[in-house]
Amino acid sequence: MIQILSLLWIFFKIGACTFGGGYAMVELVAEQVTSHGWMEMQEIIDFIAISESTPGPIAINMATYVGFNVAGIPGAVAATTGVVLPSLIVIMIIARFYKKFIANRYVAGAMRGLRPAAIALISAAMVSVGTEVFLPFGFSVQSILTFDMLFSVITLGLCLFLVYKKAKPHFILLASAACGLLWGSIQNLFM
Amino acid sequence: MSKKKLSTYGELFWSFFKIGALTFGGGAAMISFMSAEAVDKKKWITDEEMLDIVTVAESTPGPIAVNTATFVGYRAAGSLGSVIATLGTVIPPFIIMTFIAAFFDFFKSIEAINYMFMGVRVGVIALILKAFLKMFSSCKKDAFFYIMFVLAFCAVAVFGAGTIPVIISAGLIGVGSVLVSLRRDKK
Repeated sequence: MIQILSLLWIFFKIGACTFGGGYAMVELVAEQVTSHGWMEMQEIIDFIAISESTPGPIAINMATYVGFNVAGIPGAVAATTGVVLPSLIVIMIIARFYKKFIANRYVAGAMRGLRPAAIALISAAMVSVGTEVFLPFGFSVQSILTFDMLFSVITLGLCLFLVYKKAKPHFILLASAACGLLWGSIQNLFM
Repeated sequence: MSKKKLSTYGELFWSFFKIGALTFGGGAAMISFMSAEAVDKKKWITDEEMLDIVTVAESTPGPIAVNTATFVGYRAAGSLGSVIATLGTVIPPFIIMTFIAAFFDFFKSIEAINYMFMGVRVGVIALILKAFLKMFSSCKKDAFFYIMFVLAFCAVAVFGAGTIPVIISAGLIGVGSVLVSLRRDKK
C-alpha cells in the first residue's frame, strides 16, 4: 500500500514538473525510479525503445510500465493516475480563462525559464543514457578497448547518420536492432 | 443527463480512444490527429481554439498529448468531458504497456531479442538527440536562453542536482526576469 501511494505521489511530481514532450521526462523518471531502486538504468533505456514503438504518449507508457514493474496492475493504475492528475487539475482550473492565461506576462516569463531547462534535461538524459550504454562499468581502459565498444561506436555512427538524414524514429530503432542482431550472431559464431 | 450530452461523452471517449491507440511517438503526431478529429470531423472546437489549446498545453505542466486531450474534452463537454477524453487517451497505451511489462522477462529470455536490445540501446541515444534537436530548433534563442540552458545542464549532468528543484528554480528565475524588466520599465 505504501508503495502504491509513493508511486502515485512520485508520478504526480513527475507530471507536475514535465514541460514539453515525453523526452523531457526521461531524466526525471530515471532519477526518481533509480533512486527508489525500482528499476535499473538499463531497463529504463530498453523501455524508452519499447515506448517509442508502441502507440500512446510516452509519458503514459512510461508510468504504466514502471508502475506495473513495481506493484503489478494496482501500481500501473497508481502511476498512470499520478502522471495525468496535474494536467487534469491545471487544465480544469484555467480552461475558463485560457486566453488570459496565454497572454499573461508572468506565464510567458516562467516559460522563458522553463523551456531552456526542459531542453537541458533532454541533453542530461542523453548524457546519462550514453554513459550507461558506453561505460556500464565506469571509465577505464578495460571498458573502452573492447569489441562491444567497437560495435557501439559503429552503431552510434549509423544512427547519427540516420538522424542527420531525418529518418523516422522507427527506422532508427529497426536499424539499430538489426545491428545488434548482426553483432550478436557474429559473436556467437566466432567467439 | 440528456441524451445528447451522453452521446457527446460517448463520441469523445471513442475519438480519444482511437487517438491513444493509433498514434505513435507522442506529442506532435497526436496533435495533428486530434485536430483532424476534434476540429474537422466533430466540430467540437474551431481551428483557432485548437491553436490556443496547443499553446496552453505547452505552457502547463504535464505531457503535451494529455494536456491537449484534457483541454479539448473540456471545451467539448465540460469537466466530465475532460476526464473522459483523458481516459480515452490513456486506456489503450495502458493496456498495451501492461501486457508488455507482464511478458517482458519472457521476451528477454530469447537470445535474439537480447541482441536486438544491445543495438537498440545505442539507437535510443539517437532518438533522444532527435527530440533534443527538434525542441532546440523550435525555440527562440537569446542570451538568457543560453545562460539558463548551460546552468540547468551543468546543475543536473555535472553537479548531480535534483531535476525537480532545477525545474522549479528555472520557472522562478523566468518569473523573476519579468519582475526585473517591469521595474526597469518603471524607472
